[in-house]
Amino acid sequence: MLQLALANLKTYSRRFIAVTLAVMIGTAFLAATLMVNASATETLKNSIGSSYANADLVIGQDYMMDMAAGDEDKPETHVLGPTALKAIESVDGVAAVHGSANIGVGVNAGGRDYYASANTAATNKKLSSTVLETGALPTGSEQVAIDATYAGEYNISVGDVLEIGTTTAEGKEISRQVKVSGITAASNDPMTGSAMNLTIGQSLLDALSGPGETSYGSIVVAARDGIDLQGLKAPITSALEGTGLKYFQVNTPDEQIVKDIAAFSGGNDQLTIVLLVFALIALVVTGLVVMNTFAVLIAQRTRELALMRTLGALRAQIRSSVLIEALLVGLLASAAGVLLATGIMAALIKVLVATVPEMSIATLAVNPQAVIVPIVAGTAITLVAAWMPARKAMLVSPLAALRPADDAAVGNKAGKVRIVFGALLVAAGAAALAYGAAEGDILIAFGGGVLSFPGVLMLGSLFLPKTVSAIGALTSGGTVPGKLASLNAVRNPGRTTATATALLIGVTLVSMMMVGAQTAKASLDAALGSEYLVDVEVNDYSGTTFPAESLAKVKAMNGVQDLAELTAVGSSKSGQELFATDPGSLNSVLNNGSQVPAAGQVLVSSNNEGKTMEATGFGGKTGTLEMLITESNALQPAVGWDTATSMLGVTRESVAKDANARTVLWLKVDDSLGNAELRTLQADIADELNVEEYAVGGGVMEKQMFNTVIDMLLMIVSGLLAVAVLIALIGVANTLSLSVLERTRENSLLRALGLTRGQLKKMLATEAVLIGGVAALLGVLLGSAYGLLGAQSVMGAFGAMSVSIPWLQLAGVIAVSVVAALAASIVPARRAAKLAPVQGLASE
Amino acid sequence: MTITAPHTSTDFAVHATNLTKIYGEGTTRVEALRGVDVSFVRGKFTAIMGPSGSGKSTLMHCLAGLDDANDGQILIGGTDISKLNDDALTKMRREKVGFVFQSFNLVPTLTAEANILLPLALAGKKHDKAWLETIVATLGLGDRLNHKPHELSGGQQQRVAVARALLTRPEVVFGDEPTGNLDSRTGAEVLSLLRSSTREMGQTIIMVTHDAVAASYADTVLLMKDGELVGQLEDPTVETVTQALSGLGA
Repeated sequence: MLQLALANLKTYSRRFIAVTLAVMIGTAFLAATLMVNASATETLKNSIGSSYANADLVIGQDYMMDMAAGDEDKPETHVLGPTALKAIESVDGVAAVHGSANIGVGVNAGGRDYYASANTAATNKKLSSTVLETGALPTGSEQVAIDATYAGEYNISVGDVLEIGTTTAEGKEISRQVKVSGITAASNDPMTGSAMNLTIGQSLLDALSGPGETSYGSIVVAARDGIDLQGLKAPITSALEGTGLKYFQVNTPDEQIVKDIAAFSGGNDQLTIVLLVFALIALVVTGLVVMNTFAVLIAQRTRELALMRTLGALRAQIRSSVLIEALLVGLLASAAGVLLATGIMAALIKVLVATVPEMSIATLAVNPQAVIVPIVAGTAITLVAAWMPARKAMLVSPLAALRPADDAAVGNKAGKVRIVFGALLVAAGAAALAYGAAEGDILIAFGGGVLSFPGVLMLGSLFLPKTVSAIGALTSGGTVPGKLASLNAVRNPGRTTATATALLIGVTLVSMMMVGAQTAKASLDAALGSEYLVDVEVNDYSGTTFPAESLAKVKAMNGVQDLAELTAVGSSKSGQELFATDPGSLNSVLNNGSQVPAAGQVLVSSNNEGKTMEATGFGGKTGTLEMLITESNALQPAVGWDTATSMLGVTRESVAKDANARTVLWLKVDDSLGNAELRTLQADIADELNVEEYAVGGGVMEKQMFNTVIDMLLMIVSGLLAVAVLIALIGVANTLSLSVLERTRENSLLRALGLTRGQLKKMLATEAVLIGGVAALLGVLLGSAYGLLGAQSVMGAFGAMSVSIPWLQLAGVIAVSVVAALAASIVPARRAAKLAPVQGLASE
Repeated sequence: MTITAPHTSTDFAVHATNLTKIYGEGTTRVEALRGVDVSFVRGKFTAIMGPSGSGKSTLMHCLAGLDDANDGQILIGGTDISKLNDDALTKMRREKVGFVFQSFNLVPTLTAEANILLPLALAGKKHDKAWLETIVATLGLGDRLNHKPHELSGGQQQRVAVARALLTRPEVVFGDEPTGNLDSRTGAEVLSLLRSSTREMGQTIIMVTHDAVAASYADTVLLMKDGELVGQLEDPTVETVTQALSGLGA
C-alpha cells in the first residue's frame, strides 16, 4: 500500500500543492511560536547568567524566604557581606571566592552627569565576567574601567578623569576623582546592561559605600579541581549558617540560571500561551482544508479505487493507502513548515539584532520541542482530517469501476448527533454570552463565546449552503454563467460548508476584534469625555502665573482650539483650591457646554457631596456657593469672575497682587490629533510655559494612550488571525481547482454547447466569490455580534457602552475576502479554459 | 468573399477540403486525418463509419469546431470556421451546430428544460415557444421537463440531448455514437427520431458510429480507414454496411 500511496503522490503531486501549503503555514506558525519562547529563554541565559557563567557555585540571597518569615528587617539573617565571604573562603575545597557588589553612582564626564552601575571585578579568572578591550583593570581607589558602549557614546577614553559620586544610606555625599584605566566589553546582563557599567576595585567600593558593611548581590565560588560540587554545597551551607545567615541558596550556575529565568520571564509564558491559541486556530483551519482536499481526491479516484477492490484490495488496505498518503503529506509539509519557521525566525532575529540596540543579544534557539511538536501536530491534524475521506474510500464498491462515472447529486446528510450537539452548544453559549454581557462579566461571556462558536460551526451545514444558494440566486442576474455558478457552488453542500467554514473562522475572529476594539474605544471616549471635561490641563503645582504673550503663543499653536486661564482665588472649607475664570472662555474649552457655572455656582468634581460649598476668598470673605457636580473625578473647583467678586470679594486686580496667585490652564485641542502630535504639542506647551512636561496632562492624553494600546493590540491580533484567513483562502483555491478537475467533462460539454472561455472563467470566479463572499459576510455578522457582546461584558463594569461599528474596516474585510477568492479562482479557471472542448470530452 | 469550392457552397451544410490532423511528434506521430475532402448535402442524414483508429471521431470533432485541424478548410453554412478565433468559434457552435454525445450529454445541475434551452440561454436569445413545444411533444418529454438528469433514464437523457440539438435549428447536428450507451430498443427509438427530423424538418445530421444497425438509419454512409475516406454507400441496409465494413478489414 505504501507503493500505491507513493505512486499516487507522484502522479497527482499538483493536487497536493495547496494542501501542503496549508499544512506548512499552520505548522510554521506553531513552530515559530515555540521558537519565540525558546529563543527568549536562550537569550536570557546568555545575558542574565553571564556574570556567573564560569563559576562553580553561586550563592545568592533568598528574598522570598526572609520576607515570608518576617525577617526582612534583620540584615544579619540574609545580607551576604564580607563575613560570609570569609566563611566560604575557609571551607575546604574552595579555591577562590568573589562577592559581586554593585552600587549606583553618578558620573560627571565632560561637564554632563550620567548614572552608572559600578561593580567590583574578580581577580580570579574563573570568576570574572569582565573582559578587557583596552587598558588595564582598575587598581586602588582612584581607577575605574568603563564599558565600551558607553565609553563610545560619551566619548570617554583611557586616561580621562571622571568625577564619580554617590550618597550613602546615612545620607552622606561622597565623591571621588578617578582615572579611566581601561575599557571593558559591554555587558549582556539586562540587570546592568541598560546603564553605564563601571568596573572598580574593592578599595574604591569601600570608599564609596561608606562605613556600612558591603552587601553582595551574589557570591561566586571557584572550587578546587576535582571537587564534587554537590558535595561542596553542604559545608558551604553550614559555614554560612555559622555566621548567622538563614536565607540564602547555594546553586550551580545551571541551577541558578533556571531560577533566574523563572523570576525574570513570568510574562514570557503568557505570551506563548496567547500565541499558541492563535496557532491552534490556524491548525483547525488547516484541518478543514485538508479534509476537503482529501474528500475531493477520493471522489476523483472512485473508479481507480474500485478497480483496486476488483483486483482484490481489502477495504482496510484501501483505507490505509489513503492514510499513508495523508501521513506522508502531513509529515513532509510539517517538516517544511518547521524549516520555514526557522528561516523566518532567524531572519527576524537578525533584523532585530541589527536594528534594535536592546535586542543585540537576541539568540535564535531551536529546541527539540519546537521541532517535534509542530511536526507531530501537523501530521496528526492531517491524519485526523483525512480519516473521514479515507473511510469513504474504503466503502467504494468494486462495481463502481464498471459503471461510467456518474455525477448524481451528492446528498449531504449532516449527522443528527452533530446538529443536536451543535444546537446545544449554541444555546448554552448564547445564554452565557447574554448573561455575561448583561452582568458585565467577561469571564462568563468568554466562556459563552468559546462554547457557541464551535456550535455555530457544527451547524454550518444547515445555513452555509442555503445562504450561498440564496445569495447566488439573488446576484446571478439571470445570466447562464451566474446561474450555473450558484448551482455549482452548492452542488456538494459538505464541501461548500467546509470551505466556507474555514474562511468563516478567520473572518469572524478578525471582525470580532475590530468591532470589539472600536466599541471599546468609543465607550472609553464617552467615559473619558464626561470624566475629563477638559482635553488638556496645565497645572504646575509649584504655583506660577503665565505671561500673557506665552498664553497667546500657546493658543496659536497648531492643534490648540481654545484656552481658558483659571486663577486661584481662594479655597473651600474642605481645603480644595478654588479658581475663577471667564465663563465665556470656559464654555469654549469644556467638553460638555451645559456645565458652565452660572452666577453663584461653582463647577466641582464628582467627589463632592451635598448642594452647597462654603468657600473663602484670599481677602477673607466667605460665601456659600451652589455646587454644579460633574462626572469628572479630578477637577479644580471653578467659578466665574463675577461670582468670585460678588461672593468671595476677589477681583482680577486684587488677585494679581496676592502672593498665592497661581494659574491653571484648560485647553481644548483638535480631536484629530494623533498620539505623536499630542506628544509634540505637550512638549511645545511645556517648553513655552517653562513647566515640566508632566504638568501638561488631561483626558485627551489618556484617551490617546488607550487608543494606541487598543490599536496596537488590534493590529497584532489581526496579523495573527490573518494567517488563519490566508490558509482558508488557499482552501478556496484548492476546492475550486479540484472541482474544476472533477468537472472537466461537464465544462467541456458546456464549451461544446457554446460557453465561451470568458464565460467559463466568469462562472468559476462567480463560484469562488459566492463561497468566499458569503463566508466573509456571515463571518462579519457573527464577529460583530461577538464583538459587541464581548465589549459590553468588558465595558459593563465601567459604565454604559457606546455601540460603534467600524463599517469601513468590516467592508474592507469582505472586500479583501472577495478579491482574494477572485484571485483564488484565476489559476483553476485558466486551466479549465485552456482545455479544448474535445479534450475534456475524451477524458474520464 | 471568393470561395474556390467546386460546388456552390449553399448546396452543402458542411464542406471540408484537404483536412489534415496530426497528433504527437517524432515516433508518437499519428496522422489522424490525411487531407480529407468531404461535403455533406443539406437535409441529409450521413453516418461516418470505420474501424477504431480510422479517424472518424477526429473528423467529426474537426468539422464541428471542437478541435483544431492542422491544415485544410471547413465551411459550415458558408462560413469558413478554420479562420475563427475561439470566441467566434464558440458562438458559431452555439448557433449553427447541435450535439448529441454518447454519454454525459447533460449538465447535471440543470433540469431537462434548462438543458434543452442552454445554447440559446448562453447566446442570450429567446426561444421559439411553439417550436419547443413541437420538439418536446415529438420526443415525448412533456412530463420530464422539470427533472434533473439523474432522475431520467438513459433513453430519456439522449432524447433531451436531441431536443437541445434541434431547438436552435442548427445548420448541422453532430452525433458521436449517440446510441452507444442505450439498449437496442431505446437506441432504435432515438435513431428513428433523428431520421424523422431529417425527413420532416430537413435537419442535416452527421453521425459517427461503429454500429451497422445505427448506420442503416442514415441516407448515406461514408467509410473511413487510416485517416482517409475510402468508400460511400447510399441508402444503406444493415447487410450492405456489414459487408462494406468487413471489406475494410474491420
